[in-house]
Amino acid sequence: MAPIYQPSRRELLGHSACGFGSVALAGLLAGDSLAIEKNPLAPTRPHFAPRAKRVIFLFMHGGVSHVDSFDPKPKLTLMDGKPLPFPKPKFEFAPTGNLLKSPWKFSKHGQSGMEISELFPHIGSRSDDICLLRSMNGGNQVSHGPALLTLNTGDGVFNRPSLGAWVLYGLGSENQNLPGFISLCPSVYHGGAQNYGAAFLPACFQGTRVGDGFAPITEARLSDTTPQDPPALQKIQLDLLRKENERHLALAGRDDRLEARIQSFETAFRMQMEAPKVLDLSSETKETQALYGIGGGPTEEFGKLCLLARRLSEAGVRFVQINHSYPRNYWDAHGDLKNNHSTNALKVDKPIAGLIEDLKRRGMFRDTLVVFGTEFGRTPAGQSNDGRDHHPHAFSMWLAGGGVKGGLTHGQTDEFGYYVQENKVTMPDFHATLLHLLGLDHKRLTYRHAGRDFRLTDVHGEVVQPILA
Amino acid sequence: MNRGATVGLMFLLAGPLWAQKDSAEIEHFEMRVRPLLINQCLKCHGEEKSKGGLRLDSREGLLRGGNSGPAAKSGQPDQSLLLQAVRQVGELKMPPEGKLKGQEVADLTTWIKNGAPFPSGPMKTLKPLPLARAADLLPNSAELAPLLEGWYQASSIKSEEGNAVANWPDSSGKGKNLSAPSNQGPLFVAKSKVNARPAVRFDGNAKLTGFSTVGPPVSPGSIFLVVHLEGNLGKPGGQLLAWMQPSGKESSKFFVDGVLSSPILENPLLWQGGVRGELAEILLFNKALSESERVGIEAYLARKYALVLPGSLRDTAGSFSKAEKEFWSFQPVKDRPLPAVRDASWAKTPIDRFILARLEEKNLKPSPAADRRTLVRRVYFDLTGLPATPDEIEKALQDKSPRWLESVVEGLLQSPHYGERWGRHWLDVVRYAETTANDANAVMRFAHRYRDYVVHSFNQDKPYGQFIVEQLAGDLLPDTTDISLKASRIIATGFLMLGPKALAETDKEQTRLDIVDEQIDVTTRAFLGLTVSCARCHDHKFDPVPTADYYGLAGIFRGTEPLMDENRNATMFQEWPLFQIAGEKPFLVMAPREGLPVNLQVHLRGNRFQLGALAPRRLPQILAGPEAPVLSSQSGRLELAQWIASKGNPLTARVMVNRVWQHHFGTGLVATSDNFGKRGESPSHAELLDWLASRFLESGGSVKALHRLILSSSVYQQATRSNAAGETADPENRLLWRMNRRRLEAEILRDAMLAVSGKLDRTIGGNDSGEFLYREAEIQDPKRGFAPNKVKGDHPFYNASLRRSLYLPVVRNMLPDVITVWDGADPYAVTAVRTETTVPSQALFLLNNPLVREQALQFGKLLLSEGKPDDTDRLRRACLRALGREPVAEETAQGLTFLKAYAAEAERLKTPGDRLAAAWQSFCQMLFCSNEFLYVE
Repeated sequence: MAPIYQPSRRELLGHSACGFGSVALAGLLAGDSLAIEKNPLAPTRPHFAPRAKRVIFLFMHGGVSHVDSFDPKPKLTLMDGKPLPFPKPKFEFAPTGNLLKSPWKFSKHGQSGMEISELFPHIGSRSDDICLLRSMNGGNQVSHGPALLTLNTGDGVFNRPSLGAWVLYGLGSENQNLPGFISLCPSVYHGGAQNYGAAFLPACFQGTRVGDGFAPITEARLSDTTPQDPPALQKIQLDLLRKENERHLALAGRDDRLEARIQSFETAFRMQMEAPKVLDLSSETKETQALYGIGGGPTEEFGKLCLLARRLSEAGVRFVQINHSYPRNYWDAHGDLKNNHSTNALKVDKPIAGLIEDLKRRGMFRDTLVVFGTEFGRTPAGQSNDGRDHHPHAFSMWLAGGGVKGGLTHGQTDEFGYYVQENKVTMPDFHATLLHLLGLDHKRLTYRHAGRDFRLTDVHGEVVQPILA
Repeated sequence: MNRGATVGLMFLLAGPLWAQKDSAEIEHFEMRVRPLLINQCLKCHGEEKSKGGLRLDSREGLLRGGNSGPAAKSGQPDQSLLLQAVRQVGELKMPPEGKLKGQEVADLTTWIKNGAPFPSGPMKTLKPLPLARAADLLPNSAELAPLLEGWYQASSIKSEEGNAVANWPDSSGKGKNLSAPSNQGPLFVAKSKVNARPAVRFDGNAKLTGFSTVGPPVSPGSIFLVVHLEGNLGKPGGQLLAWMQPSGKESSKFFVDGVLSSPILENPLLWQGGVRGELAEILLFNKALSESERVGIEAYLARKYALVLPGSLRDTAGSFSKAEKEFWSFQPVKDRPLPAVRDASWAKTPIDRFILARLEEKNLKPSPAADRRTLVRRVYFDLTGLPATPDEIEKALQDKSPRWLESVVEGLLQSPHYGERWGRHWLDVVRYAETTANDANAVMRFAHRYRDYVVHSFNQDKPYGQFIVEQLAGDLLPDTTDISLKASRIIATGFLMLGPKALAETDKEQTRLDIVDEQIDVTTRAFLGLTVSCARCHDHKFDPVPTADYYGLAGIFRGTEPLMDENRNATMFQEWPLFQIAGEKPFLVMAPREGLPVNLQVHLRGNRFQLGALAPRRLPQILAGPEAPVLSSQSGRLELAQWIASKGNPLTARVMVNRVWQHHFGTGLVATSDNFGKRGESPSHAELLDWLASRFLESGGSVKALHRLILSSSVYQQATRSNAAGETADPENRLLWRMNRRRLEAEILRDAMLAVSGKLDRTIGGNDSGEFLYREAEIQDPKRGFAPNKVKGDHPFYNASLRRSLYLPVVRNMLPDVITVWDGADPYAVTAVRTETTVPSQALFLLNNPLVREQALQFGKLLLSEGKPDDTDRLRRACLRALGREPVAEETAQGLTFLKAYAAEAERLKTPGDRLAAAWQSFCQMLFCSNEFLYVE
């Protein structure tokens, strides 16, 4: 019979005289098989060859008006102030009035001639890199909460794992010294932590929140990563812990969990060192910072978020969500559309274009998927004279980078932007496509819970084939 | 009435009127075409095969077609290849074996004519959904319109609850409106006893005039009434009376709910006085309808008012295979004889006999017994979730009696902390939380009363059956003058209120149905280990639960009002019952309210706009049989609860004893403790499970008696150390050749740190959490109450609190960091088994979280302030408090070395503050981080 009970790695290595940390470093860097076997966050092989290895999701909270940004509707200008000539949707958030023209001009950009409004001149200059989806449909989710949850978890009602959690569950993390899924400055509203939660997936797949919607990222920290003792003192403590644990292990007999726990302290010790380095933007050149609009002005804050996202991605974080979120930032222009959207666009436009440029310079653009998303669009009909209401029935989002066709415009809405007319992309379609780009089949990425095999896309979702490069 | 119910009623009542173009077309597709495509076409033209290049599982596939060109032209059936093929007029004949029925061809024709709508939805492995038994016939359909003399629907009266009805409009188009003589009109009832639909109440004196001459005593004619009669004639939920008077000398026929009956009302002229009841609809025709016309009208009315006609149960009876009927968990619990074993000396209790028999089959030996200190630590954590103090350990060690462990166990079972520990296990199962989740995440300010009720119930060793009935239907139990008993029963129904709710949803009826779904899920998984909510959209894929059973239960829960409202922050609700117990302040109880009985129709694919057959309220058929309708004058919750709690229910006792076993051994005898269905795991020791269930039933459902049985066994008292033979034969230890080592759960880890540091506040119960959340909501967002979302996992409140962790606020979305990081229960749904991860964030938590740092500091201060001012003695006391044992010599030596090294390094670094306290803090924190502290042997 094969000797199943073998001395464990710990038993082989454990009695070496080296102090805390050195064993683990050697082990992990050499791709220690035990550590990886027992680690649910270890990188795993996707279902098929991926087009993108990581995601940066730019979330625009509140609902970016499609007819003022990425979906030009000359007919709106022509019929400004007139009623919509066909019925409005059955599900609406609140009453709206007559059609309202866009205060912004659209122009053609790049070789593709993609039409983008003057709200986003910098993104416009990147039009050949982005793949625009003009036919997004968010079902009947007319309120922020359910709409956010549907975008982020696939379900507006029940608690389901978030997109990033599914991705982390499917692919693991490239860097064991950092969380694999990070949400930067998420709002505490509209589903709050549910939007980056793990629901019934093991908790290690949930997003790690850094900061929140109340404060700029510069005030945020990764929780519990700041050593409470000077490293030298902590090392003395951890050396004693290792001795204590090894004595215990010798008595306990084989137990992988105990060994994994010992390992986890070694990893944690290194995370304390690595996390502050990654979060520290000061090592970036002035030129790079300027590219993101860092150096003062309205672009400062979102620029830092984008640069941080790039640093995290570079360090191997699988899924980074950047939130331009409530209450400090909010696209929810029920009134005063012009002021609201101008202010918000000014903050994010240059940093986003800078992010794309920087990813390209570093050779990361081809395997990083950048997503520009929002929970819904806004009604082509006006509200309170100079605003627009929530509109999940048709809106725009865009993708760029790994595996999508740059310069492509997919889908079409009617001449007012009310309903999708061609190539509708539902939330499950969007999710299926995103997973597909990462090498995951949305029908095979399942998790058994309460007697069912759950999927991000439930029983829906088709990969949007025409946009794949 | 809340707005949700109004909207819902509008849709339900306006059935034929609502059937606008789009919805009717979709309904046609869902009811007629999708099942047809699945059953007849997709085998060859679907996901698996696409013969001739054709796929018929999407609209794109249909329009794109295959090698012979597009299969259909939208709107043009005659130009569509699909129809040529199924009509079998040309060369291409489909399906290859046989021919579709005429109706089926007509259905496809209509579908293509409608533009071939094809909503996405599952296209395989679905049984056809039950359709209504008889096709509806509308009163104003082409064939009946000429005969229609009057059509009165209470729903078309514009009035308010309790107002006199002066005018009842005629919907027949004949303009024969009814009117009441002044002051003699009947009263309008918005939610009547006819399944909560609007009706007109006649008190015996009220009158309406203006009827046509049709009807008794004039003949011929037909009358249909949907009514709830008062007195003996009435039937819960209302009934359908039909009276047919043919011409000539033929005698009249009278039908009750579609069944020919003796004429209980020879002269059913309700409106002329003399009869008491609530009348929802009247139909008058000028001749006796034919049999098929009558059945068609009855089907229409039954559907509209969700009336149970004989046949409704039969129509939705499940058909189960032999294997399904014989599935192990659906068989009655059978008391098992004890198996024979070779090593009878080890098997000191019957439980051990069952365990040992299986071990011996595999030639495995049980492990030796754990030492006394280990056992003390084990039973303390198992029963109270708190570590034994050094004194308590010493007392146990000094006990010379062979029954020393029994004394310890008995003491712990009497401790009020026992209920906290086991109550928390139950709170996992019932998704306990103090906010509603989702958008509003409103505070449920009085949820804590339910939590304390659970703790108290465990401490009392409340019979399990009573515990079930109180939670599901405490409000429906016979009234009592004992106010505190009555209050506790109402508090128990908080069980129904605790679930997550999307209060901000625009579609309020949908919200209600989602709440119902959540209640079905928690009820069936918590008590029965069945995943019934899988059957919301289609028959359960694995277990014998048809959609009709789901909607049968849904009817029961839909009859109960959850009494919550997003705009009121759910912190106060005037409709909630107020109790005043002598000597206490009056208090509100968060509770649902019994509504009117409702029967629902099957919602095709879970869609409430696509209704199938009526699904009368009933119990799951595989367990209760097809003829077990719930016919109650109330919602049926009480009957459901009593059935679950009945001794004959094969699942209830098994599921509960399995939960208790799980919390003593780490894994249940059935590892999937909330799924005893086909997808669940088979029991590792089926006979033992039944033996335990039998003892549990015998004891009247005493959980404490179960603990005594289990804890006295040799299998429980084994050591945890692994060995090669066991690892080889049974690496997962399902046969229990050793005891499982268990990690402290999130709450217990925190409680243990507080207990060891001496800072734990041992107060039982109370509402600091709810009041804290309420204050936050009031201060930050009084209007809508989104505020709990601001109570993040690292909120100072969490670390400032010194109370046991089960009393910390439970904000859905934002659990305290200690709970999240250490795999606490997700309060969105039933948590039967907590996941257990080992990840670096837990190590980071132990190293840097203020909670751990503070308790380590306090622990160190305690060591410094008490006992001998001597490091060796301090190390010994630290070890005793934290680990429950004396330190070994090497350990003491290393500890002393550590203290010196720490002092030297601190000196070198010139660290600020009290360096001695810091050194001890560091040492104590090291103990909190150690595996020996984190795991129970």
